[in-house]
Amino acid sequence: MEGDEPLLNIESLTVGYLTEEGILKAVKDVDLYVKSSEGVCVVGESGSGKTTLANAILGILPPNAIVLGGSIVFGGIDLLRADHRLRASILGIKISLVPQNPSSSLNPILRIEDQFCEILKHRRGVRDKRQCREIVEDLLRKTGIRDPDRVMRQYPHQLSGGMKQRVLIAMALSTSPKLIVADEPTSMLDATLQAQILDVLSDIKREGLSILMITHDLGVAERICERIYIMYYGEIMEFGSVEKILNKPLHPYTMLLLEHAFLGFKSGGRKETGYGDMKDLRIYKNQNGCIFSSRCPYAFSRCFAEKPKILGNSSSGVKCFLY
Amino acid sequence: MKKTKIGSYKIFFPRLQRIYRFIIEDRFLLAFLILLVSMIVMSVFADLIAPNDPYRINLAEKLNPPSADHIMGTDQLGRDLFSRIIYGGRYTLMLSAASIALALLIGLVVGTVSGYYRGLLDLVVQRIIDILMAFPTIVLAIALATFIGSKPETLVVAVGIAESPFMVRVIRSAVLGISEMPYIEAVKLMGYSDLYVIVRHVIPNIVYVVIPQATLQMGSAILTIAALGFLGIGIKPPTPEWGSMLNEARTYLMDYPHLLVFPGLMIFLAVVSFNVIGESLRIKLDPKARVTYSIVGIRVGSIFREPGGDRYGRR
Amino acid sequence: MGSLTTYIIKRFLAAIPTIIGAATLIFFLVRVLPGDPVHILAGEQTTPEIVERLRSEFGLDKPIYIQYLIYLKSIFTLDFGTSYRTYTPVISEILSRFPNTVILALSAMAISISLGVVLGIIMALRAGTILDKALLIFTSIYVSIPVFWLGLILIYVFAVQLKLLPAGGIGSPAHIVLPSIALSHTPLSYIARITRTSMLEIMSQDHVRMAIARGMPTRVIIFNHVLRNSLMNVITVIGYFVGVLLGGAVVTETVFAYPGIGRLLIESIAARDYIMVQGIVIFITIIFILVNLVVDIAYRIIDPRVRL
Repeated sequence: MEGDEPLLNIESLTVGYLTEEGILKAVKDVDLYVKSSEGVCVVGESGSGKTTLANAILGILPPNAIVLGGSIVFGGIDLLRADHRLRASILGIKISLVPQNPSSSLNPILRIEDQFCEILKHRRGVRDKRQCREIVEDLLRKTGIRDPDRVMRQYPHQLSGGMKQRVLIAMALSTSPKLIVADEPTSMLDATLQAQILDVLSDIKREGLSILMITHDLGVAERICERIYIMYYGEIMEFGSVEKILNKPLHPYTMLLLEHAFLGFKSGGRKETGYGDMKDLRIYKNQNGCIFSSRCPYAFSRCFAEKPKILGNSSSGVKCFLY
Repeated sequence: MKKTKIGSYKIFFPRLQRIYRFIIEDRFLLAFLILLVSMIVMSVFADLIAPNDPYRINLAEKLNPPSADHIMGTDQLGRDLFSRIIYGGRYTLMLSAASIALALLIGLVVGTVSGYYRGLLDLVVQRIIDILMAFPTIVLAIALATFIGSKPETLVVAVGIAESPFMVRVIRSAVLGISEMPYIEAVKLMGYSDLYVIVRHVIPNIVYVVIPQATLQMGSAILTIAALGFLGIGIKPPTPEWGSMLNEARTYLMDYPHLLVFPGLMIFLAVVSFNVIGESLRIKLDPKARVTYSIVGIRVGSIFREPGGDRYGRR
Repeated sequence: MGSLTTYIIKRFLAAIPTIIGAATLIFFLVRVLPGDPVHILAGEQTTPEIVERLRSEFGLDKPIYIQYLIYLKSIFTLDFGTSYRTYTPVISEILSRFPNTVILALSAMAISISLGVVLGIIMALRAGTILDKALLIFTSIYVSIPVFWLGLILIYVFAVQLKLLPAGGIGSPAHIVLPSIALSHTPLSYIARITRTSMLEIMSQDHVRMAIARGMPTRVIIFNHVLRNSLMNVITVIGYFVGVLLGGAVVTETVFAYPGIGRLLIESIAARDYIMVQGIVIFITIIFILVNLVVDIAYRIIDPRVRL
């Protein structure tokens, strides 16, 4: 049935990086899907592999990354195995990126309108300058910019962080995508701006777009998403609907995250648990057993010996021997 | 660079082992290091190696091409070129080394004090350096050499001063960077005198910048000294020096090109060695240098095409 | 545009003390030589009249601070005195030769820039491959070749053996070819290197990553995003070298017997015409400072981040 078929379906995806110590896997056997008009969040700390996951979907993995297995199916097409032309027609047009750092993601020597028109020209075939400006004005308004004429003519450094992020969102919308991958779009902004940007994103979602949001902040996840995937060191630990995860977390790691999020909320800032760093991937390279076992307060002997499998169904699941 | 193991024998001292991995396993670096060392050895032991007296004139044998008697031939006064090259190395290499040593001394003293204490002193020093850098290096060297004199000692001073601004700048900037670090503050707070802090803490930390810089500037100094010799402002004939030998070769260029090959080649080899070694050292010693290379690292084929095409978005 | 004009004025004003400082250095340098400065400036074969004229012209019998003031005044009026050798004003000798040096410097830069940037782009796009490594080695080697040796080899190959190009002097475009090639070798290597480094740095930046994620065609990314951003850095280097070449073409001009100010400098030194030497050195320095100044300002104009 039309509504059931996911827009994006990732199965058994494994991505590693080639380093001097061999291949380090950043994403291990991940299953994930996004439906139309749905907001899905991938929550994890740095080193959890969430950015690698996003990069793999968008096709911007660094040259030392290797996809070791799995599939990324979008609109029926496996992005990992499709030929160049097919991929080019999807990536950048039907799937767009909203990046983390608004200041560095815009070309500093071009005006905003020129950057837009370049995208429109090469990806939508719009060559007429005037037509381009109209479209840009429209897009900028959609993201809440009240004086698009002025903003268009400026250079990136003349705009504030929040403005730049809106511009980036507008650029992401310019190709009428079906899915927006947002990689921690608010982590560089302060709290008020964060709320504004999240509002913009919610509005967009209402119009039919799907959003795959990468974040480490459960508060952000709660605002935008319907479903959450919790990632730890490249593996999905638990996933399910927002209500379920936040109110009845099953996995010990999820509980830990919630604790810290709550603490953070109390003290006014986001707190990380302090786990997670790319370098630590090496420690876990050859580990048997559950990857969270060394830090799990509920771990027992089986946790160190075997790797748990995901228990659950397509809408929610958990990877833990406690169940 | 690929590390190839030359021999797998046990090394007992960890320090030695690090030096081994650092230098000897990099074959490229090793080759140039050997080249350089041989040139230095050649200059130092010139008396033992040179077959003939470099000053001995023998007009009967003038302008001979390379032969069994004279490996590199003879020059316009019948002097053995090979011997002259060997002795010439003394002047070219040693004068350059001395001038860089001087530049290093100036750089360390001025740069460290200026970067550490900052303030008015630093501003004055910066202005002076700006003034010195207002001259193209060779022009400054020429001007200094002209007016101070062209004896070996004064040449060293001239080139040393001409090369010192770069050294001062580099050292000063490194010292500025180190001085900002919290742990220098900590040591100072512990009550140690400034001199102690500078010598025991600041300077060891700037070594990784100073050594490559000095090496690279050696190349530049050699070119300058040789250029001065070539122009007739530096070491003058009959003293053998690679630059002035090239000048002498000019007149006979048309018919006796062999005169020009060897002196130039020696200068070239010396400079190349210092440049390559200096570059190598700079990359290896800089803790941050690796970063740029990681984005354009290894391309690995896999059974799954990278979703993004190659790194430049080509699809 | 107000801030830009202010900047220009500020930089000009800042350059003046540097010029004065450099001139002062020369002033004291000339007086380092033992002996009566008059005799040094007057040269060897001189007559008592000349000595007296010089003495009064430069106020060399007056106390040193007055000499210094006279000297400074003469610099700013560009009156560098009269050459001992040719009896013509130093400044007119310099100005008659300077255009030649300019032509040489500009053609050398043209070669360096065109080849250097192209090489740099190739190296950046093929970074890490054998081609890149080979070119890196090549630039290291090429920059290590002494200019005078390269020049002599070029003369031997092209002028003596192949009899293709003239060995020296001036008169036709052909006369500029070999000296330009010789002179360009250092800037070329540096420009290639800096283009490469600059491009690599830009390529790892987020906005390039974004362009790739948007699926922009490679050519567009390279030209509009990477190159345009890198060229800013390259311009600084280019400017620096123009300055260096204008003054530092000394050796090349000597090798090719090219009548520019570099060769004039060497001739004057050989002839002990120290007034001329003093004048040339000051002139070269002023040009160098001015060129760097212009480059600095140009850079500010081009970079919108600074301009607005």
